[in-house]
Amino acid sequence: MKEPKHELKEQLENVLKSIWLKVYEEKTKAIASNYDEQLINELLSKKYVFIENGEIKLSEEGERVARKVVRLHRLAERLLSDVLGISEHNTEISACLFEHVLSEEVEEAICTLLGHPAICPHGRRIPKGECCLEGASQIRRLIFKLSELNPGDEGEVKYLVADEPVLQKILTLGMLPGKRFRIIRVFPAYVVQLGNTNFAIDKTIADTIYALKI
Amino acid sequence: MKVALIGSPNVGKSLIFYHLTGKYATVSNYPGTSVDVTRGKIKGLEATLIDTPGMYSFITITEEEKVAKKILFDEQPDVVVHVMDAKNIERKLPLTLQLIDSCFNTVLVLNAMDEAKRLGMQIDVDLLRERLGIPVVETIATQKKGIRQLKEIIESFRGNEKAELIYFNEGIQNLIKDITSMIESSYPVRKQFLAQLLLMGDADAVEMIRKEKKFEEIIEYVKKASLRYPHSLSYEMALQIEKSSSKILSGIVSYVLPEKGSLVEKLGELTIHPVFAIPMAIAAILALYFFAGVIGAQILVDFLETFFEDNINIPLNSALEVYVPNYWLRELIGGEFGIITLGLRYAFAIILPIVTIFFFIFSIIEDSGYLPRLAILMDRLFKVVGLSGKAVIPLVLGLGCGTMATIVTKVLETRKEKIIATVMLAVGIPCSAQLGVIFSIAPDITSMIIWVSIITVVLLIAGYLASKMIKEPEPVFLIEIPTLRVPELGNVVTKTITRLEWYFKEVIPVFVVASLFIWVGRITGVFDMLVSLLTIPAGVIGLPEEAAIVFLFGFFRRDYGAAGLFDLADKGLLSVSQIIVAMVTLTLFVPCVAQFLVMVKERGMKVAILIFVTSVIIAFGVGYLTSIGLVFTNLV
Ligand SMILES: Nc1nc2c(ncn2[C@@H]2O[C@H](COP(=O)(O)OP(=O)(O)OP(=O)(O)O)[C@@H](O)[C@H]2O)c(=O)[nH]1
Ligand SMILES: [Mg+2]
Ligand SMILES: [Zn+2]
Repeated sequence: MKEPKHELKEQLENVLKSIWLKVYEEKTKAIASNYDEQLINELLSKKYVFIENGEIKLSEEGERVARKVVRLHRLAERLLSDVLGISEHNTEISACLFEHVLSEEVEEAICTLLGHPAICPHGRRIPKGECCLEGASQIRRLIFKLSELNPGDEGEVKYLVADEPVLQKILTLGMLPGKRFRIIRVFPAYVVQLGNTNFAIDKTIADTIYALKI
Repeated sequence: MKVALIGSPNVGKSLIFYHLTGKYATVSNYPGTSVDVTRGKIKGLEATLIDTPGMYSFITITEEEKVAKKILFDEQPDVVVHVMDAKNIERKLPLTLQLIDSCFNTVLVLNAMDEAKRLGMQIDVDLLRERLGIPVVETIATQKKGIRQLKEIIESFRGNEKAELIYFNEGIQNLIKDITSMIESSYPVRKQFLAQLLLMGDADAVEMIRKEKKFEEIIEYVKKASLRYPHSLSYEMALQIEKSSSKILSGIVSYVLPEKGSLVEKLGELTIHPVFAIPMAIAAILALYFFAGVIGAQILVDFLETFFEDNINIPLNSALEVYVPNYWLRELIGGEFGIITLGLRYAFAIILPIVTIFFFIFSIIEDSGYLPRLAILMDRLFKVVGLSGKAVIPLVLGLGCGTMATIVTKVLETRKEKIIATVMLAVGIPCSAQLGVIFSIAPDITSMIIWVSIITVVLLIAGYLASKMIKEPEPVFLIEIPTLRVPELGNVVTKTITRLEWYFKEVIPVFVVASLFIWVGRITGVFDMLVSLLTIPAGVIGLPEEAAIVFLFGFFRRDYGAAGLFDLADKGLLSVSQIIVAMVTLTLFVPCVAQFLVMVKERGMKVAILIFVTSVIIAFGVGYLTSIGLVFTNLV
C-alpha cells in the first residue's frame, strides 16, 4: 500500500503536468472548471498556481515543478525504450510511475547516461536540466551524439533530432534507427561506415544522430 | 515502349544505358554525373530508353533528383529499371518497394556484383525474385555481364506479380485510406501511393493534386495528421518502409570471407587521411601542371603553333596575295585576324592540345572517385565562403570548362550554394584553356605563386561576400563516398573524345563568328574604337595597347582571350610583371558567352548580368592593385 500522502503528491504533480502541457506545448488555456476542485485548491494553497478569469496559470515555482515532472517522464521513456528495449505500451506505464519518484541525483545520472537527449521517443522536447548545461560528468554514458564518438567506435543509431530538410537527407541515405555503423574518421569531416558504404557528414549532421555506443 | 533507368547516383545507370543503346552518356565515379536525361533506342528493340540523373528516394532534395522523379510521373514509362549498387541492397531496397507500391512495372538490377562479391557478399536472387514478384538480374556493367539478360527481361516483361509490399501500422494505414478516399482524379501512380507521398511531406505530390476538388481538405488533413506525430510523420513512415524491406531481405543476403583489401582501397583511405591527404592533393595538382602545362601547353602548343605558322599561315597569306586582289577579302581569311590565320589557328594550334590533355586528365580524376574525397577534405574551408564540400565537384570541373561546370551546380542543394558557386566559377576559376596558357607563359615559379595566391584570395573574398549577401541557412554536408576505382582506359578515352567533340562543336563556330565580327568591325571602324576604348583600362593596369585586343577576344570566349594572350607573350611583347598582371586580369575577366548563357538559364537574367558586370570591375580593379603591388614589393 502506498502512503496516502504520496498519492496526493502524485495527483498534484499530474495536474501540474497537464496544465504545463496545455500552456507550454499545446499553447491553449487550462480551464479551471475542467479540473478536480480539491486538487486545485491544494495547489492554490501551495502557491503553485493562480486563477485568472477562470483560467489556471502556473506560478514560477509551479512551472518549475511541472517542467521537472515532464522532464522525468520523457527521460524515463528514453531510458526504457533505447537502452532497455521495453515495448511502447509498457514504457508509457512505467514512465508515468517514474516521473514522481526519481531523485535529483538519479535524474542527472540517467540524463548523462543518455547523452542529455533533447527529445523523447515521440519527438517531444525534453526540458533541459542543470546537468545538460554543465556537460562534464563522471557518469559512464551509453548514448552519444555521433559527433562525440571517436574513430574505431561502433554504434547503433537510436534516434535523430533534426529539422525536416536535414532529417529527410539522413533518412534517404538510410541512416535509420537500429542501423549499426562504425566511425572511420572524425577529421576533416566525420566519415562513417554504414553497411558496405562510407559516408562523410559534417558536424551539423553528426550532432543530430544519437547512437548507443557498442 | 518507354523504359526508364532509375536509381541512386553513381550506381552505373549511364554505363548500362551505353551498353543497351550504344549511345554514350557521361559515366564518372562520383554522385551527380548525369544532371539531365538522355534518351536512346535500345539496340534491336522497339523501345526508348531513358537515362535519368540519380535519385535517392521519392522525397527529392536536389534539382537533378527532381528531374528523375518528373520522368517517372510525367512520362509514365512502361518499364522502370531500378539499378542499384548490389552491395548496398539493404539500404536501397526500400525504393524498389516504393516503385512496386506505386504500380510501376519494375525490374531490379543488382549492378556492380564484382564489388559485392569481393566483399564476400552473396545474394539469393531466386528467393528475392519470388518475394518481390518482379524480375531481378545481376549485372557487372563494366564487364558487360548480365546486359543481354536484362534486355531479354525488358523484351518479355509482363508486369509485377505483387502490388503491396510495404506494411504500415494501423495508424498510418488509416491515414492513407482516408486521404485515398478524398482523391478523385486518377494519376500516373496509385492513389494509395500518392497519399503516402503527401503524408511524407512531398512538395511535388502536393503540386500534383492541386486541381483536386478537395485539395484544401486534403492538405488540412495531412497537417492535422502530422501534428499527431510530433517526431515527423516522414520519419515514422521511413522506419516502417525500412522494416518491410529488411523483412523481405531476411535470409537473402549472406556473407562469406571477404577478399583481402586491395591496394586501391588502402589508397582510398589515404586520400582522406588528415596528414597524407594534403600532400596527395598537391601532388595531383603538380601532376596536372606537368602534363597540361609543360607537355600540353609548352611542348605541344609550341610544336603545333610553329607547324601552323609555317605550313598554313605563310603559304596561305602568300597565296592570297597572289590570287585575291581585294584587301578586305584577303583579311577575312588571312592576315592578322583572319578566320583561318587567327580563328582556326587559335582553335587547333593553341586550344586543342591544351584542352585535350586537360579533358583526358579530368576523365581519369573523375573516374577514380577522387572528387568526393577532395570534397571531404575541403568541407571546412568551404564553409567559410558559405559552400559545402560538395561544391568542390562543380568548382574543380570548372578548371576544365566553366560552362559545363555551371550546369553541374545543379547537384548543390541550396539556392545559396548554387549562386555562390556560379559566382566563383564566373569570377575566378580559370578554365582549361586559360590555365594551360597561364602554365605556359608564366615566366617562373614565383609568378605562378603570385598568380595562384591573388586568384585564391579574390575567390575567397568574392565567395565570402556573396555568402554574406544571401541570407539563407548555412549548407550542410553529406556525401556518399564512392569506391575508389582504377579508371578504365576505354571510358577515359571515350569521355575525352565525346567532350572534345562537344567542345569543338561549340568553340569553332564562335571562333569563326568572332573573326567575322572583328572583320566587320575593322571595316566599319567599330573594332578600332572598341580597342582604343579598352586601351584605357589596359593602360591603367600597365599593359600595352595590344592587350586591349586580347580583352576584346576575351568577351567572346575565355579560351579565345587566353589564346590571344599566348600570342602576345609569345611575340615577346610583355615584361614579366606585365605578364603577371595580364594573367590575373584575364583570369578574373568576364565569363565567356556560352557560360553567360548557361548562367542566365540556371540562375536568371538578373543574377547573371550582376555577376557579369561585377567580374569586369573585379578584373581591372585587382589587375590595377597587382600592378601597383608588383612595383612596390619588387617581387619580380
Ligand atoms: N566495379 C564496377 N564498377 C561499375 C559497374 N557499373 C558501373 N561502374 C562504375 O560506377 C561509376 C558510376 O557509373 P555511372 O554509369 O556514371 O553511374 P550513374 O548511375 O549514371 O551515376 P549518376 O549519373 O551520377 O547518377 C563509374 O565509375 C563506373 O565505371 C560495375 O558493374 N562494376
Ligand atoms: Mg549517369
Ligand atoms: Zn542532462
